[in-house]
Amino acid sequence: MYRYDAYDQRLIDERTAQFRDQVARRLSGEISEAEFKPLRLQNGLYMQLHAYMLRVAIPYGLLSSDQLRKLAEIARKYDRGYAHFSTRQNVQYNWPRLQDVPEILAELATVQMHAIQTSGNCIRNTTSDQFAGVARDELVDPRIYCEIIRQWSTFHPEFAFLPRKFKIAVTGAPTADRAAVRVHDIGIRVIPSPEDPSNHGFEVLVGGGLGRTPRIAEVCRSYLEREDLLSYLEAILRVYNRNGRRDNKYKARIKILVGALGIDSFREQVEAEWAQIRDGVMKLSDEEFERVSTAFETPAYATLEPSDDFVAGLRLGKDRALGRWVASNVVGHKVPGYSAVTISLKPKGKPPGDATDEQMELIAELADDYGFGRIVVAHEQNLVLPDVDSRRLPELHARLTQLDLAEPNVGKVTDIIACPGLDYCNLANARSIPVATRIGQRLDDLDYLHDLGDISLNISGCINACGHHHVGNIGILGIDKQGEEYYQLMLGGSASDDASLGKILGPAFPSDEIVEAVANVLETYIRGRESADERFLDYVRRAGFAPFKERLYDQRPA
Amino acid sequence: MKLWMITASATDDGAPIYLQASGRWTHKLGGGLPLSDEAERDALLEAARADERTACDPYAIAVERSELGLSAASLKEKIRAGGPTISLVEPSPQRRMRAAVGA
Amino acid sequence: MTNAQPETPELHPGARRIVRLRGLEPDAKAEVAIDHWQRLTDDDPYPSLDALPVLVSIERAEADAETLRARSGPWGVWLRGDDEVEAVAERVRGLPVVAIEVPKFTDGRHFSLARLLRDRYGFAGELRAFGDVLPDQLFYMRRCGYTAFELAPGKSLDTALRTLEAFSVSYQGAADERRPLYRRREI
Repeated sequence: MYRYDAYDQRLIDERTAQFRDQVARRLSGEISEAEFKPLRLQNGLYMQLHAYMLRVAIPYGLLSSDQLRKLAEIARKYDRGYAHFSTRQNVQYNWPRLQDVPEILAELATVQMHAIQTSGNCIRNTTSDQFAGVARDELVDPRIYCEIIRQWSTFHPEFAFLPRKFKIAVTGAPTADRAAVRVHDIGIRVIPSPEDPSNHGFEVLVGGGLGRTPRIAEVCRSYLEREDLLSYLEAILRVYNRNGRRDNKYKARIKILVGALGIDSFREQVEAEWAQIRDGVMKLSDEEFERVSTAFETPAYATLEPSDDFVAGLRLGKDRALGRWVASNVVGHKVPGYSAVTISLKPKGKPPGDATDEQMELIAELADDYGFGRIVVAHEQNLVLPDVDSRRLPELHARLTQLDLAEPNVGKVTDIIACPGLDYCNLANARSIPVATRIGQRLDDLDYLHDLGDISLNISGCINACGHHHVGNIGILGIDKQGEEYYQLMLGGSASDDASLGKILGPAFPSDEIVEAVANVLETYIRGRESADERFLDYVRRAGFAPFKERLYDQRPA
Repeated sequence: MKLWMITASATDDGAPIYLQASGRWTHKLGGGLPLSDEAERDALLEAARADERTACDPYAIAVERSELGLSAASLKEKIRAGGPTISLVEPSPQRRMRAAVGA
Repeated sequence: MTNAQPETPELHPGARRIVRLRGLEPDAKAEVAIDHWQRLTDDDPYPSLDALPVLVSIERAEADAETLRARSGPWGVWLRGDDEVEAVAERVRGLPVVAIEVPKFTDGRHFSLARLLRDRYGFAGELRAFGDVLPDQLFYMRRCGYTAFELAPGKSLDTALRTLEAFSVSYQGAADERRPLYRRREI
C-alpha cells in the first residue's frame, strides 16, 4: 500500500470540505447547474440515466482490505448494495444522492480514498498493470512512477480545464504490456537504458485512444531519463492545453492534435517547451524516488519453496474444477512460492465487473487471510489477490467456490469487458450488459472455453468506446438502427504490445442474433486453427476475415 | 399526432422525473403531462429550466399513447422510465419503497 | 469581510469591486478592493477624466503610444485568454497591470498564458482575470499567477475570498510557489 503522509491526507480532507461547500451552494442556488457541473465532474460525480454516478479513484488499482471494506460499507449505506469496477481500475456507484456525496467523500478520506479528477477535462487516474509489483516479466515496479504522476497531476492548476479528458498509463513490463499503454493519451513504458541496461528510464508514447477516432499511440520520446519524467509530461500537457482543439468535443483529444500535426512536428513542439523547463525544479531526485518507494509497503514475504511444479500439478490434477481455475485465474509471482490470483467478476449471467457489498467484504477477508491485505483492480474489471502462498491455492479455491467467486474464466472469451451501456448510461445507443450475460450463458461449457484459449471480448454500448471494443480480439459495438438495438462485430483488436485496432466484419446483427454470431466466430476459429497453440488473435491475423464472413454471412438465409 | 413530455433529472438523486399538469414533477412517466402543441412544450421547457433546485437539464421527449397509457417512444427513454433491464441486485423492499415515495 | 479601500470615493460609474491578492506567495492575503481601471475596446473613447487608469489591447497601446504617454493616469494592457504568450510577453514587460480575458471558464488556455507570463517572462505587475471568472476557479488561477480577479456579474465576493484559500498545501510547483512539494517537504 502507498502510505499517506500528512500532506496527502490534508489535501483530500480539504478537497472534501471544498466539495461540501460547492454542493451547499448548488442547493442554495448560489451557483447554477452549468457552473456546478465541471466542479462535480472533477469529483467524479456524473449524471446518468437513472441517477447520479460516483466514480471513486483507485490509483493504479491498488486497494487495502480496509479500503475494500469501506467501499462495501458505502455501497450498503449510500447506494443499492453493489458497486461496479471500471475499465480504468476505478470503482463506480450508480445510485448516490447529491446531498450524501460530501459524506461519502468524508468517509472515503478516512481510508485515504477520494474521487478526485475521475471525470472532467483534466488528468485522470494514472493506471497500470494489475500485476505491478509481482509480475515475473516486470523490469521495474511501475507503481512508484504512477504515484509520482498522481501527485503531480492532482490539482494541477494549469491543466484543470484541458480541451478534453487526459489519461495516462504506465507499464513496468516492456515485453508484456497489461496496461494498454498504446491506447492512452500518454503511455509510458519502463525500459532499460540504452547506455546502461542496469539502469532504466522511459519510452514515452503519445496520442493513443479509442472512442470515435481510435488511434494507436506513437513514440514521442524513445528514451527519457527517469529524473525528467514530470518535466516531460508537463511539456506535453502544456502543448496540448495551448493547442488542442476546443471547437468540437469529438475532435479535442490529444490524439487529434498529434494526428493533425504529425508526430514529428508534435514532438518538436514538446521538446522545445521541455528545453525551457527540463533543468529546473521539476527534476526528480533519487531521494524522492526513494521516499515514494519506501512509502509503498512491501509485504513480509516468507521464504518459500518454489512452487511452479506444484502449481503445474494442480493444473493437470484430478480435480478438474481446481485445475481449470488454476489454468486461467492463477499466474506466477516473482517471489518464489507465491502466485497472483484473479477473482473473476464475470460470473455467468451477471453484469460484468459488479460486486455486492457482501462479496466485497468477503474478498477483503480473503485478502487478509491469503494475501497480506492487498487487492488490485484489473482494468479487465476483475479483482486480483496479488500475493497468495501457492500451496494454499486449493484451499483458496474451495473458499471461493463456496462464495460463488470461482468462475474459471479469466482471460477467456467470457471474461467480458463491457461498459454499463444503455441500462445505465445516457450516452449509450444500445445495451451491453444483457449481451454480455447472454454470451456467458451461451458459452457455459468450461472445457470448450478453455480449449478456445485466451480471447478478449469487449462490448461498448456506443461509439465512445468505454468498453474498449476497438482493442478486443472480438469487439462488439452497440448501435441504434431505426430505434432498434443492433450490434457491429469487429475482429483482430489488441491492447497489448502488438496493439491493433479491430476491423468490422460485416453488417451489424440484431439483438437476437449477436450471441449466435459470436458463437459462430468461435466455431470458425476452432475449425480453422492450425493447432490449439495458435491463439485466436493469431488465427484472425493469419486467415483474415474470409472464413468468418463465409460462416456468418454467406450461410445466412437471404 | 406527435406527443411530447418534459422530463429532467431530479437534482437530489438524479432520478428521472416528468412534468405534470400541476407544474410539479412525478417519478412516473404515466402521470406526466402529454403535450401536442410545440409552443406550449417550449414554454414549459423554458420554465422548467428555471427550477434548478428540483430539476437538472430538462428536455422534451416523444411519448406515445396506447391502451396501456402513456409510454416513452424511444428505447432509451423506456429504459430510463423503467429502470435498468438487468441488475446485480434487485432493489431491496426498503429501497423500492423509498424510490416510490420519492424520499 | 469586505474591506473597502479607505475613503476612495466612487468617482466614476465604471468603478467596481474586485478581489485582489496582496502578493504572489501562496499565503498572500486576499481582500476586496474598489477598482477604477477602465477596460477599453479598440473603439471606446478615452475617459474624460484623464487620471483614470485604462487598459487597452496591445495593438491599441502601440498605435496610441503618444496619447497614453500624455495622459496623467497609468495604462496597462488586456489580452485574450488564447493569446500566444510568445507574441505578447515582451510587449507587456514593466506594465503595472495586465488583464486576461477568460472567454468561457471551460477554456483553460489562459492558465498557461498567465503562468508563462509569470514564470518564463518574469511579469511582475498585477495580473488580473476578467470575463467568465467564477469563484470556484480562483484557487487555480492564483496558483497560475493571477493576483486580481474581476468576477463575472452577480458572483459573490465573500465566496471568492473563501475559495481562494481552498487548499493549504500543493503537490506541484506553479507560479505562486515554483518548487514542487518534493523539494519543500519536511517529512
